[in-house]
Amino acid sequence: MSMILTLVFVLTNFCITINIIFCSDMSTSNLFFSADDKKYILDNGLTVILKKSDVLPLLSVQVWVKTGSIYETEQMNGISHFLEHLVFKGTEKYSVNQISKKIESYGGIINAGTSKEYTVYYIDIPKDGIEDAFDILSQLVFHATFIEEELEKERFVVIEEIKRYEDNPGNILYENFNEKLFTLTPYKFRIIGKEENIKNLSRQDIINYYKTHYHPKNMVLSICGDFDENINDLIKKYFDVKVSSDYIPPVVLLDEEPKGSIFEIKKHKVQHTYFLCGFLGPKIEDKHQYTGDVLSIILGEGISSRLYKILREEKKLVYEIGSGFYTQLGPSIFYISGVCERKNLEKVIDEINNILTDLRTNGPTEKELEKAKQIVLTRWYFNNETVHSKSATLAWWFLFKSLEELNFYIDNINKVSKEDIKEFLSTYSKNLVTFALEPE
Amino acid sequence: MNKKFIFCVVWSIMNISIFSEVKKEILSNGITFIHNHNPNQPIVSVVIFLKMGEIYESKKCKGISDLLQSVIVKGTKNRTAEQIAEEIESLGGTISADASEDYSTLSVAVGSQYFDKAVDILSDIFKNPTFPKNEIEKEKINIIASIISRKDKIFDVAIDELLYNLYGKNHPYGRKPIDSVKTIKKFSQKDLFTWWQKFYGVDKNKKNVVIVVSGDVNYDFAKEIILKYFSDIPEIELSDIVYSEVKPKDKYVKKKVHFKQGYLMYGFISPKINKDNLSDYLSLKLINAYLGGGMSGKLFEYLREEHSLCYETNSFYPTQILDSHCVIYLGLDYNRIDIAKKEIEKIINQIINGEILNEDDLKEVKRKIKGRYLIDHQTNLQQAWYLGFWEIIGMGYDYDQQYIKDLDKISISEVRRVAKKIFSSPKIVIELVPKRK
Repeated sequence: MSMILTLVFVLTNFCITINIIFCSDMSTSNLFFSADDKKYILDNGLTVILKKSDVLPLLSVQVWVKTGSIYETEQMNGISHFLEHLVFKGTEKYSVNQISKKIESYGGIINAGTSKEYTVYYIDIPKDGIEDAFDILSQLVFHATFIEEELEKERFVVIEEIKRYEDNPGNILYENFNEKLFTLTPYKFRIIGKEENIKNLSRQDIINYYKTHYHPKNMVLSICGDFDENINDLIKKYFDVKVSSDYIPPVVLLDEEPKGSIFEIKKHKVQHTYFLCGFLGPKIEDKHQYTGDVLSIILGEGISSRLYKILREEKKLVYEIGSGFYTQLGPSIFYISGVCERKNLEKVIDEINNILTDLRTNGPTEKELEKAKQIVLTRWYFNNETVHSKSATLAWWFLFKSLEELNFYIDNINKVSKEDIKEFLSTYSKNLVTFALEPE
Repeated sequence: MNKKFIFCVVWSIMNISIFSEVKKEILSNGITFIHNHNPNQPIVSVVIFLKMGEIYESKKCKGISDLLQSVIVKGTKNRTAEQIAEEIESLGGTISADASEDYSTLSVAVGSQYFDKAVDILSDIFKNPTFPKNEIEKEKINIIASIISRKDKIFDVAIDELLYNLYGKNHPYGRKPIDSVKTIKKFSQKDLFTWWQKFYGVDKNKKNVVIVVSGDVNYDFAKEIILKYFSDIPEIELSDIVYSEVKPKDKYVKKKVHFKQGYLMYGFISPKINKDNLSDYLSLKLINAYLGGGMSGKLFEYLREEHSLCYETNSFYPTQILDSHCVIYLGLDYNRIDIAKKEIEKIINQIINGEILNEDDLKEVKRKIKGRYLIDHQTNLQQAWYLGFWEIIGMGYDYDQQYIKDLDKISISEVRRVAKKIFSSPKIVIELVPKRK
């Protein structure tokens, strides 16, 4: 029954999720992106990041493309995700069945996912499959063929995925909440798109989008794991493909209009009342990104957090409650999610407002602040045990912040003060946007 | 008497060492202690596996293990619920208690410098729970809410229906979660204490308590701390498993639901994990990996790639102590359900007749499982979990590696024999029909 905002990411296959966390190293003496790691640019403009980790003979190879639903128009909404499906349906070298079979025969995992701001293709594989992993990923991002017949077949699959998506009340809740928060910018679009658009997108639309956005200069290749010296030759062989045109970065509207208080409820086939409430926060370049991370822990992460203690344990108003902070290029999202009985909903929102007001006026206690920082630190280690998570962390930070700043993440978290929390809440949290689904 | 086993694994098949050094020791009080030294990150996971779960619950007790696990972290003789949460989370750690069908777990994950403190809290929860009445009532409400919410997820609706029809209402795996609402409402504080006394102690013969420490803590220190806090747990005589014979008959169940998607699910009774019958178990694991298991699985290839019938399709075959089940499913546009049924039955018949899953496919599936094994053993918690899981279900912690070696020995004729045996046996088919078709 947990209500986690995972909907910012839609995967091609259904069984694996990626959690990209806004998190980094514990201290500057133990750098996440260290002098032993490498970053360089191929002749075609593709950035390569290499991090060696030979704990197990495994590799995670990921290509991140800076495209997603914020780069779409209303009529084309859903194209990033549809395209991400279609590249698996055939490339110059491989047919639809060969792609996954080649990787999975090593016991590897191949998958892809689309978010609002990026699309990722990844292969986690035992070391002996490295060359095939490079070959396949290169084929996907540079040599997809979009065969007409396969494209038509895949429309059914994506339409079925949309139905499945809409069968989940959590998704309906999130999309409604998102539409209330974002009214001007393309952040209002659903990643998965609309059934109507998927029916109408032409092969030429897909090819044009692929040519525009799948440019080496708009991507990063991030590799973490156990590899040998010859890796650079292999990278050059498979990823330094020639491109005929230069890359022109698209212009995306990132400024959203301020929102007043909103409280909206819809009837739905649910057994309990599910709600999301929150507000727009700072853009990615703002120092208060770190404040948002700390605040989300103080408020709603863990069983000793304020929301959990007061609303679930003391007042028994909710079954589940939690909070989160989602960083974006444009306005970030600070959200509180929960499940309760309908009769308690107004009381729950009142209590949330009281808690936010108290924190805005008095700030957190020193103990709360220290605990939140300790949680970030420990979580950092637990979240970065796998080659996959390390590779993803590097790619995200390269694309949206910088690897230099990644190394100072914990330092920046440790700098967050009581005053920062008060300032953050005073600036962003005055008006709460709430959307709920209640039983029919 | 201390029995000490030392186990250094070198996985010969791929020449890969997953665990640098794993040791097992039966401590003087009967606790099975397993240690996995993993110094790669300054963290440690401690997982306690207990023989307690639905398979020990009579019909009247359904749901009590789950309720007990939810309330056990809500107060001890030395700490209130709030203190437990505060103490663990101020170390940056997490604590959790879960109950499954065959076993229950109590675990903590922290930075390794806080190992002593974390085990102190964990042992306090294990030995001194108070099951406060207000916490029991609160958790009852939450568990019931969570059970009712299963109606909001199409997969949950399908699987609950399938297991009920496959096992029957008297079998621990067959009872519908919704039916436990009545029993959960009735459990008292006394009931929880009685249940706790039955399971939270050591039965030396049945080796019912397994403690796994995995992470950046050396063996001697880990053992010293476990002994310091767990040497005084009481002896018990473990209850027997509630057993009910499974005799499924072919059955086709059609049910209307409020979802947009339709759903089709097939289930077959399948071998339990048992040292005496490993060939059947391992063969079906291979068949399952051939059918499901990623985008190259047969179901994905036929149903999604070839026929565009669905977005989601898969199969699963859980390792269980009692007779298990092999399940094949897909979510789809209900108008195309007849094609889907025809295609699934075609795949099943082709496996039975040996028309698909040939020698080369089998080699590939084995290779696939080996690679996936590596990916699934990267974190401390995963390593701790696998070691404890194999131990608690009676195969021994070292079966985590032996499993891969044993799979490698399975021949194509064994696979075909088992495919025929399982897929020719009675099956349950669940069809969920959207009301707003």
